Amino acid sequence: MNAKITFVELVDLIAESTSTTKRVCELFLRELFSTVSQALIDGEDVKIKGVGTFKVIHAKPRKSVSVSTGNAIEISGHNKLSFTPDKSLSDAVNLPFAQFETVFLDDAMTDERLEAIDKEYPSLFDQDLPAVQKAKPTGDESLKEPEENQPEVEETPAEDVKKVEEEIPVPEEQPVAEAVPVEEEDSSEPEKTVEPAHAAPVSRPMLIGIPIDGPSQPVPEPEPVEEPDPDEYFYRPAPRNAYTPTAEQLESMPNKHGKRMWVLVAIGVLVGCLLMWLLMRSCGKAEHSSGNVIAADSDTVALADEEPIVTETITDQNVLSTMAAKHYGSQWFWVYIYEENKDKISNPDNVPLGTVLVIPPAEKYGIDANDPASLKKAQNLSWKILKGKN
Amino acid sequence: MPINSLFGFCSNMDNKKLVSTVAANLGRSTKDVSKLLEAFAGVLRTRCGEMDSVIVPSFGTFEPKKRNERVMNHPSTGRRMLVPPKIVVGFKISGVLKAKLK
Repeated sequence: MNAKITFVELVDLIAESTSTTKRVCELFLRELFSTVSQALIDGEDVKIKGVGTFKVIHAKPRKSVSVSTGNAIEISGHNKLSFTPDKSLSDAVNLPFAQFETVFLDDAMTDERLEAIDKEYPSLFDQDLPAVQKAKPTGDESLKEPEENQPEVEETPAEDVKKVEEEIPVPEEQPVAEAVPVEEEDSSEPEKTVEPAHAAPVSRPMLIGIPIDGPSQPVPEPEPVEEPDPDEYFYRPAPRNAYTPTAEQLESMPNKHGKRMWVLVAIGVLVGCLLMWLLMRSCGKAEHSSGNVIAADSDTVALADEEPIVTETITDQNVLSTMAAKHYGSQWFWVYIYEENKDKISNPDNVPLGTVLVIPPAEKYGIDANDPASLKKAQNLSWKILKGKN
Repeated sequence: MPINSLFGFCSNMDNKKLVSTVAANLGRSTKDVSKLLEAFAGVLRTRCGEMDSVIVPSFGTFEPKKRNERVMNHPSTGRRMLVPPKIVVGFKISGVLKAKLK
């Protein structure tokens, strides 16, 4: 943290990671940088894999004014060195902020409102604590968003209630057919009694606030297809708490952004919804198995069904999105870790330190960082979850 | 001998050429050198990721810097947008190299 790594330490670190002698590493580093320096002095650009590109840029002589005397002076031409970090380096360094995307602001978000928000939530950006530093923008985004949408949100609840009421008669006919959820309820109850042990008193804001991008909200299209889904969410015993807001949200979304038609995104969502519904079914089973694990031993790698279960503990540096990036290759997949551990996480933005989470195997949720559809699905899901929480 | 070295001044040094030059000067195999170089890049990634700066004497300092979030206008559409905060790796040239480059 803000330490300066000297040459000696650098040599040690490299010797350690390559398991060679310090002597070799020192010679290598000296030779490397004298070669690079010489090439730069010769006017060459130098590209180092995994580090970046160094370029010598000539600055032309220009006129200026002396600060002390006010006389016109000329700054003579000189060479400057520019450095562009390699993608791998800049990504690794920017990891704490990697989940943020540029957000277009609504017309309603005026400068005055932005200033008011800044005053209300003073910047923690310059503080040294990484957790606080990471959490600040998270909080900021989520605080801005609801404010932005408030007038619209107020309109929706009445409609939601109506819709819920309309839907009630339908599921009442179903329970007989759906014998599975009943079993799930039985299994989820003992699990709930174990839970409180995980609710540590200290809590830290967690790193998953994904900026909500107004224009790209993939909402208007999916409504008709998702209509049947809310039934599932409302009346499935196991995940009901977490999913009720989501379902409401799905219905209220079209009111907010009815004008925006993102055909491609919408198709993605249609597919996503279908998959999500399937996923919800398997999720119930997942909770069943994770419940067993907790009851048995929450801290260690345990066996449930036939596969070994990987667990991770929440710390300052290790939060949902970093776990997802580590295990699945993209921080967007935090949603599935959340799905898997919904019984332990009340708010994904704020998970108590020391919470032990089960990392589901990637195949279970069809997680594939190289597949844009899978990524998009996770993004939509995370958007819904966060929207539901706000 | 690589073709681009025949053109002297207009050639740029890419990673391959750098590795082969360093390997030749050290009398080690290119494989060893690229392994060491990768290790250096790895150290840079982890240490800069922890907000530490890495100092290379008489060359310069690699230092991560925080950039605050800001509101800016989209250059082509003119729409206002909130640009998220980020951490970038900066490089501060050492006085020795700066004097040599001048």
